This record gives sequence, C-alpha cells and structure tokens, in this order.
Amino acid sequence: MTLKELVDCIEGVVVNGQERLEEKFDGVFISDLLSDVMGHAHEGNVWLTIQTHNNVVAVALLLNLAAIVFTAGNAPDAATIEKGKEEGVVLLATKLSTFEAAGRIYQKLQ
Amino acid sequence: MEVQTKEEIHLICLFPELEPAMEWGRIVRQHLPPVKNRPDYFGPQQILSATGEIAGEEPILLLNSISLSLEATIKAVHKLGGVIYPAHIDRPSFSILSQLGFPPSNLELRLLEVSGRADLPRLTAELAGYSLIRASDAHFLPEVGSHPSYLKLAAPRWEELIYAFNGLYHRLLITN
Repeated sequence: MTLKELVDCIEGVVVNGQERLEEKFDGVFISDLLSDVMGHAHEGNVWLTIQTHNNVVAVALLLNLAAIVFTAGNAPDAATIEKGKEEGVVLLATKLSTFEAAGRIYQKLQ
Repeated sequence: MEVQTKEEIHLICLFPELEPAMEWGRIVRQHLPPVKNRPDYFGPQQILSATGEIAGEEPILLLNSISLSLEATIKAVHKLGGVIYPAHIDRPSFSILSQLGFPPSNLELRLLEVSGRADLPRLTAELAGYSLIRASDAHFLPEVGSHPSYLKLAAPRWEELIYAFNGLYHRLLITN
C-alpha cells in the first residue's frame, strides 16, 4: 500500500512530504510513548500517534519510518513541522480517531 | 510543585518566594481540565492548615495533565523566576525519557532528577553533560527524605541553590 492510498483511506491531510506519497509502507505501529516506539517500531512502518512534540521527527528518522500520522485532529507543533521539512519526514494528519484510522488501514491491508 | 505537561512528563518546579509559587499554582489551575476528583478512586485531596489540620478538600482532580507543552511549561516557570527540571527520568512512566525518548536538544536542560531506584553510574555515563539530582519521588509520607542528594552551599539561600545546580563558585550538588 502506498502513502497516497493511506492518505485517501484515512481522509488525511499532507502536512509534509507530498513528493514521497508514491512510496510504499510496511505495516503500522501505534503508540504515544516515544521510548516504546524506539524500542518496538520497525523500519518502513507508518506510525499513528497523538504525540505532537518535535522529538517525533527524530524518532522517525532514527527508525527510518515511512510516515507519522497525527490522529484525532491533533495538529503537529510548529517546531515539529519545521523539523519534518528540514529532515524530509512525511507528516500526515487526520481527524479520525486512532481507532478508526487503524481500523480502516487494517481492513485495506487485508 | 511536581507538574504534568501535555506530553505526560513530570517536572519539578521550585520558586524563590511564595508569591511566584502561588502564581504558578493559578496558571496550572487555569490549564487543568475541569474534571472532578473521585475520592473513592483516587483518594481524598485534602487541604491542610499550617498546623496540619484538615482545612478543606480540593474538588478538581490534580493528577491530570495541564494543557501546556513541555516547552511552554519551562518558559512559564522561568518567567516567574523559578527553576524547573524533569522528574524521575529513570522511571518507565511520566518521565521525559519514557514520553519523548530523549531530552529534546532545543531546551538547554542541565539538571535531571533520578529516583531512588536509578542505576546512577549507567545514567551518568549515558547522560554526559547533564547534572543528576537524586530524590525520593515520595508518594507516601514515610518515603520523604529517602535517597537524598546533598548540597555544598555557603548559606541556605536561593542563589546558593542555583550556584550548586549549575556547579558555580565551588558550590556542589552531590548525588549518590
């Protein structure tokens, strides 16, 4: 599944990384604890979170994640967007709850 | 005060005088969700008088996060002349390391608190460049004062505390 298809599936908004939407991702990880993400997410994952602090960008880079999705209407902080642009990390946002976003992606991946 | 930010990070806030501390209390209250305490779940939130008698009960649940970010919280405490540093960073919950993975580089944090259970030699090596202060993280009265740190000061004054936290003028923060 490509990031473009993901955006459509969760009615997402592209905050950063429009040019990378044809890339494919490999699985989804959900957590709001960055220590947990660093320990358990895998390369190529899309990461669903409500954590908007700019440290999320560093974690995505560290693990080479495909994209960060801010769920439930949470907008990333200004510093997070700035850092995401600098580092070329794909940032997406959706009004859907984490539960609904995950449910839709899960169904699509079946 | 130990405050909990939007990111669910706990930080210790210290003030030189009562008034800025009270002002910080008012700011925190403004940013707490208006959720009432359930004493049967969370225990009573008693207000005690100077002589330790029950003078009232706080109705708003105080263990919630405030709506300010880590950065905004640090800025607000500094503006009031206070000192603020992350609490019990070695704990698996409500710590800057559990919530954000590592101390954000843009914050110029120098001082981090570790709990009584912390592996001090390991943390000192991992967090080179930071000063560590050990404290009890007491949740019950008998725990207060366990695992203290020591300060070498010229006098028990606020400025001396700041010198010790920053390792200035041969004032020392001794953590063991």
